[in-house]
Amino acid sequence: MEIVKLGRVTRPGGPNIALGAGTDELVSVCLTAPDKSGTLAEQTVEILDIIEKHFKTVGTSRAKLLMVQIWLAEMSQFAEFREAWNTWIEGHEPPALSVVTGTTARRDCLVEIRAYAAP
Amino acid sequence: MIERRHIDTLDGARRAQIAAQGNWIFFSGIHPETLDGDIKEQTRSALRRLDTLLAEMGEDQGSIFVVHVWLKDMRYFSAMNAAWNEWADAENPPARTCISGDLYREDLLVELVVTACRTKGE
Repeated sequence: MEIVKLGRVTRPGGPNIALGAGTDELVSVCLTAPDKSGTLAEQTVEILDIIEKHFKTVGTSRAKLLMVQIWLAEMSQFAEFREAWNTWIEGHEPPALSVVTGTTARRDCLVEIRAYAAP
Repeated sequence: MIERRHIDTLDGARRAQIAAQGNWIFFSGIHPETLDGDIKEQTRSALRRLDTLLAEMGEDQGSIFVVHVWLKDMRYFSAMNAAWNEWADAENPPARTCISGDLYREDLLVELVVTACRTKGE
């Protein structure tokens, strides 16, 4: 089975990683928001839109999401996350969803998201 | 059929270090071989262990679908990245997530959870 890497990161001084990977059985992408000045809702939607952009390069989309893992810096922002998420996923079958707190790369990362989709 | 390798215990909890089915290979939380080093040394050691386990399955870092790095403290992020960058293929690095969380031992600074694919035939 072949693996296609998605979203190669090459920022100087940053980690040498890919944002995601795809095979003919599963696709997955994970990132924090490039614009850390946004509100939690803005960061959430920015991330989800970028994930979907990578999904589209391998022929999938939010309609084929299987599982989404959310790491929130503060669980007190769950309601704000929920509203952004529900708006974004509206009109589609929802995937499995996990929301927990976790600390990500920078203090101004309010959320990090990993999404898995069928190809 | 599920293939399980290195069945042992993690602090008393039964586990297989590798479980594989079809095209997918799952690795247990991979720890450094010794815990007396700093974060850079612990990361290097855990990545060496990962290489060994991948090789045992006939695969290599190009077969990795996702690595989840659990860090004891996000203050270790830069030093962990330095060790990661020494290891990661310059042209085709693995996809990765890094989140901090409490690890099972006080002196354990980093843990790798890895999903890989069979890419070399079968």
